[in-house]
Amino acid sequence: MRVTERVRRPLLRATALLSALTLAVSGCTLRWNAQEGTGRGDIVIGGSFALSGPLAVTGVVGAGAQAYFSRVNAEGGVRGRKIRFQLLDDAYDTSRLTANMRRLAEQDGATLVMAFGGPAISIRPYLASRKVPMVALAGQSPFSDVRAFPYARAWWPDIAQEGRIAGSFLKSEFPGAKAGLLGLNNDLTPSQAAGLESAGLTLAKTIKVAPNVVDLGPQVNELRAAGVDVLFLSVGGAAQSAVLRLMAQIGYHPKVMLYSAQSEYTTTLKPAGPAAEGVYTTQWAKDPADPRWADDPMVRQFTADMDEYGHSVDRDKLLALNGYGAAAAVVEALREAPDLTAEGFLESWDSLRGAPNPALLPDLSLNGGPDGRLIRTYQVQRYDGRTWQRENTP
Amino acid sequence: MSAPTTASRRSLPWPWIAAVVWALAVPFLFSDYDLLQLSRVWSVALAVASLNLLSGYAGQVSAGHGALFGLGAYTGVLLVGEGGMPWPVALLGALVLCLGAGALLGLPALRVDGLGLGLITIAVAALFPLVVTRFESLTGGAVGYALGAPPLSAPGWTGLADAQFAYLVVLAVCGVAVLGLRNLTRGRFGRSLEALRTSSLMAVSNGVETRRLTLTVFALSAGVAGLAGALNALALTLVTPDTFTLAFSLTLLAASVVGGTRSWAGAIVGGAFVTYLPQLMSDNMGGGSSGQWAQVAYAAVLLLVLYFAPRGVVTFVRAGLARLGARRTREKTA
Repeated sequence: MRVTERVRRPLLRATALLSALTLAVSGCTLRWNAQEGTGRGDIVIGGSFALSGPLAVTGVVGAGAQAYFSRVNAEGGVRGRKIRFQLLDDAYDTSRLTANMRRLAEQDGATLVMAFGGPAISIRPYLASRKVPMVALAGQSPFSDVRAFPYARAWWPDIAQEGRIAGSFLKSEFPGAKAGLLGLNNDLTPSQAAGLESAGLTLAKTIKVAPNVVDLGPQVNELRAAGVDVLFLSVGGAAQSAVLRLMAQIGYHPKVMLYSAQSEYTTTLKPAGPAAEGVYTTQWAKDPADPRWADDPMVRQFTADMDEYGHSVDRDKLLALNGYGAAAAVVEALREAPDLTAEGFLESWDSLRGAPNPALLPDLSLNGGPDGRLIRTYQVQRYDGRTWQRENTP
Repeated sequence: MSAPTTASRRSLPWPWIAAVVWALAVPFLFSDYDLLQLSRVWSVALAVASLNLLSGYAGQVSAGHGALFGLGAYTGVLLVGEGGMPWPVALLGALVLCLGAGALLGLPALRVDGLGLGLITIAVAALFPLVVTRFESLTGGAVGYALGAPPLSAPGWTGLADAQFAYLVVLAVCGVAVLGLRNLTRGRFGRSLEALRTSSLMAVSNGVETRRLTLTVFALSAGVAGLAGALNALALTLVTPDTFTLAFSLTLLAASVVGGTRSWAGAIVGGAFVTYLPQLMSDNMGGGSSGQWAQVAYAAVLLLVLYFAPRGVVTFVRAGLARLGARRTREKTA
């Protein structure tokens, strides 16, 4: 029986369409295959970071964490179980972060997840409803509200506290000076401003710019015109060093305090050259590129692990060591936990006392508390052209 | 030999029937996470379809549909979160608000066209996240607005999971909307648009009220884009200003071109392209460099489509199938 012309063409189209549609869902998981919960197998830890997009420089935290987890696996894992680290890209976009978290929580059966920055604030309600702990590499103040969001913890100290410490140092060192803040137009700047002002520092000028805008001549001139002689600089990326160089070029020399996460050797101090001499920062973590730590055994281990597990290009980045340290804190909490459930992990995280960590400055250690954070102290430091020197704080 | 064209027009639309059956089977086959992704695909496809109406059929430029999508998203979420309204009301509210916004956007289009209009829409797209962040008390600012409970929750009598219900709602609304747009462009309205696109002078001389038509098509396109945004936001239960940047508007344009600016099926291809490509790269290229590979792949696909299939992927495939069918017929008669 011949298939008539009338049926053949649409049939061909239908077949083509169905093939395309089936191909489209070939990557999907069948409902009855989607696994949930922690089995006896690998411990699944999810990580969603900005591996691409305008804030991709922050993505190296994922590389650092991956290196640490890989070494832990090489040494036998946690309680005999290997860690499966699922590293996903969200390009700092909340939609993609939401999708990633759904996948990690619902499909990959993650025991806990890690995320970076502001977008992680918005994902807390969902993770609470799924009872999946999150360790956020973020300093935003909302993360200290553990009572409202009991499943979210932050690895970084509260930046309002950093602002407070920086503010009181600047106020006592340079009394009567006019203070200014040059930061990004995201959620970070309000917390920083709040912290600085809570120390009694009055901000004469606050300017916000978009990330990755390197030519900040107009903004610097505006600060100069306002008479700012103490500046908190938090623009990040290439702009951080560009601003230092520009100020040196035009003969504008305010006292500069760099935001702790943007005071790296590789991206800020070296490119700025002599213009970086005399800048301050508050610090709680080591910078692997700082000559001070060249012989530090933990930093050496970090560098070796980065090389071993394919991340040698990021071996001297501050944020990479930061991510490595976050992973170390997570593993420490898992090791000390009564069991590998969400509640067990959280209980252990909050009970850490005096635990060492490869990312921390020598006399600091991890201590859990009611705000869910592990680090509460900063050291004020000054760059002498070669390395950071500790300043005495009141 | 049997007469080809008139017969095939009256034959059953097999492809669409097959697609509908497949789409309805999906929620019972795949995991909740995949259903979320597919809901995103459908809602982005609807936004691309609205852009197709404006660009492909009416010949107007818009690099600002990301902002309209975002406006709909915020409206939908705020109506549910702050206004306590049920989701159908939120969707309707988003549609109506964006209809109005589209009419406003159409006003400059009456005076300016082409490059000038493109620049105006770019400005709108660039300003949108900044304006949203500024009204922090209403919108939650840079951190965004999260809904506590999922608004698209399945009523008890259906026995469906929330993700399944949400998917079906998104599918139903997008399906009805695209069908509506398709019928609109095949009727009298479509012919007027065609006239407007070809030459406004010719359109006027044929009795088409060009000013009213332009405003109407802008309003319609914006309304549908806003509806798509509201659907997307209600499925994700979260909105942030960073999602609706100028880059997103340009992504929608790229998706429209890749699928085919006059193709409704192409809108679905575009939606899938936007949602799945980054994920695909991430899964296959491994964590670290996947972000860069996604951008490379994006650019490569766009270039290839523009070079080999300038009218879009769907048109290209259809033409290929037609040639395949014609060749078989010729072989038979030879």
